[in-house]
Amino acid sequence: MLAAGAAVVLPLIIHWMTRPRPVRLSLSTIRFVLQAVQQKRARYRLRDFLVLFLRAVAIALLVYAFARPVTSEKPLVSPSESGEGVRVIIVDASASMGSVSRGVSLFEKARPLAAQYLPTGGGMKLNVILAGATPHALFDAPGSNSGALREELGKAQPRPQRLAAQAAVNLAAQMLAKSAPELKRELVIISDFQRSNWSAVDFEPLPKDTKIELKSVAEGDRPNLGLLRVAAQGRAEQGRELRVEIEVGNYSATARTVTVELSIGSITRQVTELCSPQMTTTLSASIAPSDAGWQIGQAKLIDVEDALRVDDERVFVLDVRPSPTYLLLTRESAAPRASSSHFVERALAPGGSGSTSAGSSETGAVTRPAAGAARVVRIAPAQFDREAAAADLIVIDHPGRLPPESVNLLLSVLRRGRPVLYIVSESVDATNLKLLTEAAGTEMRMPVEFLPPQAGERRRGLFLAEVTRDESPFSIFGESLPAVTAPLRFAGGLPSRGLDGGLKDDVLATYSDRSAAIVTTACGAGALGVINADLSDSNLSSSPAFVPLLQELVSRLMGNAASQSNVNSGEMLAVYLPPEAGAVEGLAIEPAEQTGSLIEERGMIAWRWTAAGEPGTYRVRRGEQTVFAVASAVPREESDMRSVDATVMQRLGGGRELRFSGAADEDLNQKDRAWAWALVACAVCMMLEVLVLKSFAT
Amino acid sequence: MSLADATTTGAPGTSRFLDLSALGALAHMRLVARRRIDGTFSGRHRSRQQGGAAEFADYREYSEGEDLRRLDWKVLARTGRAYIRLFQDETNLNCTLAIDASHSMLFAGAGAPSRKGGAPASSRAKAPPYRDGAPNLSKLEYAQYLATAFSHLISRQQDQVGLALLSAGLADLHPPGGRATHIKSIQRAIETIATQPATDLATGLRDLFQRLTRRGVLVVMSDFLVDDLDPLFAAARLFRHKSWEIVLLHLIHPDEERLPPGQAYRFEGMENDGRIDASPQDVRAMYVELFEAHCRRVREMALASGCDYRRVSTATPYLETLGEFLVERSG
Repeated sequence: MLAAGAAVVLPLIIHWMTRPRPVRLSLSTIRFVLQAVQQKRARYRLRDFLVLFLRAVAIALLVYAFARPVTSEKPLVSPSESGEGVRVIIVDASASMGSVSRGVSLFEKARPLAAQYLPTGGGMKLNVILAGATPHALFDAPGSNSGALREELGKAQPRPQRLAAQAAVNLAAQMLAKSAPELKRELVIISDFQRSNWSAVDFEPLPKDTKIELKSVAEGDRPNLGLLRVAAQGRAEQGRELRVEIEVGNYSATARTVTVELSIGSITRQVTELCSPQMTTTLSASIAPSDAGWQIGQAKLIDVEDALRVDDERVFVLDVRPSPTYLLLTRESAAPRASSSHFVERALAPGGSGSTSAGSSETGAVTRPAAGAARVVRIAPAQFDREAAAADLIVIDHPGRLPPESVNLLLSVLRRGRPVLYIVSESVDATNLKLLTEAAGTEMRMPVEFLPPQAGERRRGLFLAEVTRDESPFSIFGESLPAVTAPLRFAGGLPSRGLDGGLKDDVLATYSDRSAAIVTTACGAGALGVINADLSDSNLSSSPAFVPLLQELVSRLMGNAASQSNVNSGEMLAVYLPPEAGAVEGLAIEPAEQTGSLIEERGMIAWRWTAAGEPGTYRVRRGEQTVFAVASAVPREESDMRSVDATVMQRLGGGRELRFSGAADEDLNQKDRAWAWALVACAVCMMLEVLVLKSFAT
Repeated sequence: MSLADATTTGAPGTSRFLDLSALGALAHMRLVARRRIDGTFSGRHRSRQQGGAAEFADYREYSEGEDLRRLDWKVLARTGRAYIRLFQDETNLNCTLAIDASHSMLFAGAGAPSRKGGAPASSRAKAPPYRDGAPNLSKLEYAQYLATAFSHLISRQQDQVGLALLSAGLADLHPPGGRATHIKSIQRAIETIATQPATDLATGLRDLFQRLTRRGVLVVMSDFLVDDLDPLFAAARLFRHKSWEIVLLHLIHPDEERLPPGQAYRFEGMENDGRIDASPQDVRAMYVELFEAHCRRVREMALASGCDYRRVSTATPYLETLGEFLVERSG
């Protein structure tokens, strides 16, 4: 570089030596020359400066071009070096490595690159970690059998999984930390360095003296379209129209018109929409499932050529149920009068014909809810038992004080995915909710605590001060939400205060006195919703907004269980089966190989699977009947093929020796064109100099 | 026998700037004064005197006190009105050749060797008569050819010619005369002009104005490269007020007009003007603009002062210049 620096002075010498030698001439009219020179002197200086600058740049570029082989950056970890030390190579085997560029997948490029870092002989201890959702080391500990590693590497294939980069780094850190301190430690990571996977990786667990070589096999922009999510909106009911949402990610620089074919059973729909670049777009299709039970569906992108094929299709499952049965748990009379439970009952079954009382709290006669017979079954709290709890939704309104057995039963059905809607209006409701919360422990974190009202405190004329307008149940009103909520006046209910452990977002609406109006919270696989109002004293029940508001809230609570039916391939699955699954005996998972186990936990059946299998559907069957199903799919993070910036990786190194480079850097002679560009720039400088001279000559 | 008949080119005792064979082509031409002049002798030029009995010019009504000898008695007898007869007197021409003898007149272009202070005739080889123009001829040499030719032609038409050398002031003066020895001494003085490093044409002209008593024609040959033109033309106007006829011959070398070709020159002033390194191609456009502005100003001031102005390029053969000049004046 010293020589290069000295060479910059060369143009000065050339400039001085090639200056035109002046010829002496006595001139009578020198006064005019002096005047002309004075007027042009500024211009001369500019010209000379430009010429000098261009010459200096041209020579500097020339020196740079010829010094390129000497000055180019050296790799931190030399593939051919085989001294004493430990070298761990992490090879990204996630789904994105299966993306194809010019007929070759990224993993096929990574394989020989990784093999370069496995020298034969020497004292280097080697190991390879195939990184997916869970890292898999080819050897338990680093060894010197590079041949075996090469062989195993040759068999490896990318898996449709997300890359758990931190887990792979942690595993490598454990291996490196066990080596003797005097040995050198090297970590080589070969990946496409997706932004979604690598931007938060922490190299801190690695020993401080570890040399980290990051080799990217990604080649520029890799435009990709992917199906990120397919899910039903709300509860799927037999014969009822259902909206299925399909989230499409367009990870390319241009907007793309995307056609998605959705098929479930004999139903096929095609949806076409323009997807904005670098964004996700949600498409929706309406279907009306004709059969009840677990249905297997598939969504796929039509006529799409992109980098990653594996995310162009996505399977999903739907638990299509018969018309729902609501259990109304109340002390109030079933007589048709203006009571809170009556309003709720009419709102849940607006038709009225099939929604009759199945029992009478006064007589104590109980009629069990039967599927398809009555939609709302009204029972007294004392008659609440496990059989009654099989309803699709349990609505509690004016229940009085609930016995501990009922509370435990409620908690049990909540955990198993049954939603509960509690209409809070009496002081005893605060006690009931407190008992339920305490029994749930950490499983349920209410955002607020409802308190009995102070003596003489009257809650009247309350109105909705804050609502989450973008979420159900209020999102259904759209732009007319203010017009709908403005006339509403509420009375009754209980005051509330916020709790530290709960999510503030679970409070969907707040009254003008800052107390909570509508609250939802998850508990196990189910969800608890709370409406804090006495519907008989509020004008909500006479408002046209009442029925849609209640229906949306119910759909929200019942749809919560549907999210349990999707799992990312390669990731752990732990899900409770629905109550109708019955006892664990007689249940079988299909396919049977390596699909986890069914165990009984706290009166429920849990399906535990350490790593979900390949994309597809997995069912739990009792005989020929499917009682539960999940769809395994490629994680959405893998669809975003954008690579993390090199500077980000340098920053994540935390002061360790770290070098980030592309695979293209390996072959300097073939791929490094910097010297050629330097020569081109040098020629441009020379041409510019001629131009400058010519322009100033006029 | 006239002087012209007696001298030949290269003959001993004659000026090296006198080319009689070339001047023979102009033998029939005369330098004509455009205005009436004062002469010593009778000649071919109109005199300021209207008396005598030379050529009838006009009638004028008689005024009391006038010479009765000029009264036209016949007209008085015939018409009863008194008229005076006027006659135009003719006299010879007094022509003074004023040559700028400053160093700047030595400029001979880029191809000529640099010289200062002129060179005496004895120290320089006899040059052939200058007929075709040559870029290496200095402005002074061109003026010397031109002045020698003028002196020869004027002496041939029986008129008187004088010489004044102007540099820092009036360096030398030969009052007008017509004798052969006088002409010869003038031509010798022209041949041996020694230049000075300073130019003060205004002072020289003022001195000359004081020394010359008889009106005539003043021919000034100069490059007019002076710091201030106003005093110069103020001095010229003194001559004009005395009814002198002034002819300004502005001598310009071609290399002065456009600068010599070449990459780089170290230009040195000829009258202690300093020096500067410059590339002609860089400054040519601006230089030409400035020089032409100077020439325009000289011409405008000359015409405004009532002088006859003529721009003379040394690239033009002096005989051609002289011929055109004489033809123009005779017309």
